[in-house]
Amino acid sequence: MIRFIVRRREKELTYTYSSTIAIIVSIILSLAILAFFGINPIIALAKAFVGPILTTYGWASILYNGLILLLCGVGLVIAFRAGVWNIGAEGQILMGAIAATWVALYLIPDAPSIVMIPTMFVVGFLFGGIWGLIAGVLKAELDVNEVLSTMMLNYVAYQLVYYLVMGPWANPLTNYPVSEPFPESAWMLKISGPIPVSIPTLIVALVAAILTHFLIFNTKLGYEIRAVGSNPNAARAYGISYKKVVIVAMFLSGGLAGLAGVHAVAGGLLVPQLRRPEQISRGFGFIAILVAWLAGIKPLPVIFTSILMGLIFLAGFVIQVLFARGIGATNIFTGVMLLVLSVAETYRRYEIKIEIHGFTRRGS
Amino acid sequence: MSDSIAVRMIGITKRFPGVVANDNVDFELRAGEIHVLLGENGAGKTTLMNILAGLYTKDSGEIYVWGQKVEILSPQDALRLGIYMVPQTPKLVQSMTVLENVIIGLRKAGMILPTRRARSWIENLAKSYYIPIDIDAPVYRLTASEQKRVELLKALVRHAKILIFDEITATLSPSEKADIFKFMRKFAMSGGAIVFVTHKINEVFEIGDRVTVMRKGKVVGTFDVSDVTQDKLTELMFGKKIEVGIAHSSAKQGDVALRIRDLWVEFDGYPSVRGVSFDLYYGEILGIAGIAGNGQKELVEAIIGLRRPSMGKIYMNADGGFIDITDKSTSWRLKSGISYIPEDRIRYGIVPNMSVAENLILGFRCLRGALDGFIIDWNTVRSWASDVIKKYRIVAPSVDIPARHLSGGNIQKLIVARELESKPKIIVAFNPTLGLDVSSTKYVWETLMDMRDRGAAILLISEDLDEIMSLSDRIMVMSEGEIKGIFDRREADIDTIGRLMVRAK
Repeated sequence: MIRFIVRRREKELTYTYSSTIAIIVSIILSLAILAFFGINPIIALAKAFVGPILTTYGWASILYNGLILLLCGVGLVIAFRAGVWNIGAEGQILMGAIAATWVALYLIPDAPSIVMIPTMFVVGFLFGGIWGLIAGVLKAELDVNEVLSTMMLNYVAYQLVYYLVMGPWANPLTNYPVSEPFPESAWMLKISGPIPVSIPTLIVALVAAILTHFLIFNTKLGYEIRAVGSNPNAARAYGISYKKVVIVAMFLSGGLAGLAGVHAVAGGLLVPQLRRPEQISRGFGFIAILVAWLAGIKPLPVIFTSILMGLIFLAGFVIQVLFARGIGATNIFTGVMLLVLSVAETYRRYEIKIEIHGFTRRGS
Repeated sequence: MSDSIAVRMIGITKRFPGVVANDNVDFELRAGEIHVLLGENGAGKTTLMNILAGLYTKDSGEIYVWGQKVEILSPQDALRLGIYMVPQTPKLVQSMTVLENVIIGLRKAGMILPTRRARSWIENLAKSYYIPIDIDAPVYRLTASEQKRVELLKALVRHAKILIFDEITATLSPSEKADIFKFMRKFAMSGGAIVFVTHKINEVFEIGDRVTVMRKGKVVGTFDVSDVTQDKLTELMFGKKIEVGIAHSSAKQGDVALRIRDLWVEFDGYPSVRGVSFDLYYGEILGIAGIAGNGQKELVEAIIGLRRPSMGKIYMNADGGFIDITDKSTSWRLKSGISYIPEDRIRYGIVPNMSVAENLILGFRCLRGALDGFIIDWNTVRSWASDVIKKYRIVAPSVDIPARHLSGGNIQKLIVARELESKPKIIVAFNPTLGLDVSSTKYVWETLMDMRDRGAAILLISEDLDEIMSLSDRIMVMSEGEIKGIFDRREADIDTIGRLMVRAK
């Protein structure tokens, strides 16, 4: 007879430990699944994971994806710390993209880069923030479940982008559903350094991670966010406003995703313009949940996990292109990782022993 | 002979980082007895029982159950051996009914829940073991003590033969306690064995057959209850004699601090507080005596601002005038000098995952200098917190460990420390010494007395009549949401008060 004995650990494992294991295990499992489709895992590993690290273009792509994930991930850290399950980063990214387009094409099309780029980020933050704020206010004032409201707001943002690129903002010169290209002052990627990466986004994202760390751990607001997220009863009993915390956390969380949206349209290798929503964010808002979680819901480790997920995302893409067009390799990677991470989180807190006929093995 | 010994634990040792919680402990439990495990907070009682119940694993030692050597690695293992630990705070699914909670996880319950047979079986069990409960009531509607009864039923249904009660009387009123004791006798009489963990010496004599005393991780003796005296146990528990109780000096009553007029407070649409009016003065301790669930919780929540009264007014006298605070926020009240020591300390008193230092600044009232701006000056906070834990004798390895790692008594000291360090004008203390050992209780009592002498107004709501009688300058009896009488300390008589507490209309 085999028995599983699950007990709470007296001392929890660190996130660094559990996340590292989770990443390694999920990559091995994903490659094993791909092996079923006749893809040699060793070659896949070399081409999809090692290959991109060795090329300039690989790094450009890793960083482009990574910076979106970094901004979203840091934003999600704020929401998750407050105990608010923001599933709406995807929609908040799209709102940031809409904001960037509006600024670049309609608000100040003639402004120089030095004005244009900061304005896109500020307005992008506001648009994304408002999208988060809607769910925050609904939750705080009417007790509407934020998982549902943020999810539904994703679809609203999605349709809004579609409407804009097909309708009022459609580029009259083409039949593709895209806006006109942004003026050159709004192009954030300059192909001049050793690695093509949007320097403005790099700065904004790193500053956001550091400021968020400071906010969460060194300010009264951050303290209140953590208290509400960890024990809302005690927080309320000692005068911390639950409503304020939920609303502010959702605003900041959405705002940071909005910044990611600005980068998504104006910081990549493609010509900056508003495109179809699935071309702006290919599920980054959801992958960012993994990023935040892998980082142990701490802002600074998100810098590392977002870049890593940027690589994994790209690896899936490479496999799709090189080996098997029919297989959603990216989905395999992220799906497996979600599963493994859920197990890892339990494993981090619980000790699992397997007992076979009175013979006990400690799974460690 | 061996089958009359339910449990024998030999040479049990358990180390935690920095402490030896159990040091070579021997413990024996006989069938049919109620065995009291007595000791101060942190003496190692709970650790020993957690090992027996499979929540912790021992570092060394042997355990025999009904004469068989066993390895208990999980609560499931313990349950298979018939060992069930009644948790301090009931672990129930709030949205399910009592019946559903009782049969949760039972193999024989079958696929379609709940069967009529299971139902009548459980009803009969409840009846024969004196557990008065409505098995169709949803758990969230039950009081804390009714939820404990559900745990008892769960134990019975699982055919537990060895029951462990860990500090179960902490939140019970005298009559609820009597109910549980009745259950325990019945259980022991039908061949079961009970370990009753407590730090209250009087309970040894109320319920125990034998008693084992622990101190600092070691067993200092096991006796038949008929062979020991209270003094002897006190000496064993503390190593020296301690005077329980406190000298009460007369109060210098000042102005009215809090004026409550015709206050009505509802809970779930039911008026729990019915037209309560009283004045609380500066420089006095006003004790509210009453059995749990007679509106005390709702009254406290209305005063703190956590529950909006349906009618009536609350005024606070500060800076020379009365302010209507009925509609002010909790945060406003706390900042104006009302301090709150909540009843349920883990749920309402602390944020368990945050550090000791972080918990000491909850509400941002202490240490104004370091918390004035937007940014928290952690260096100042941490060094202040280190001083505070020394001053209030809070046992914690550092101010950076999560508060959940502290023992119950130390968590309460942390809350008291935080509330008193905020220099309150008015203190609302709700069961402030619930579950605390003698030395911590004495400490809290002395501190409250000291605050009173320095002019604070203290509203003490307690189910512990000894506490009320020891501390209060005036005593108010609350029953069925109404004030049944207010007595001056000199004319207060415990019999009259006890009668008012239980008298139903």
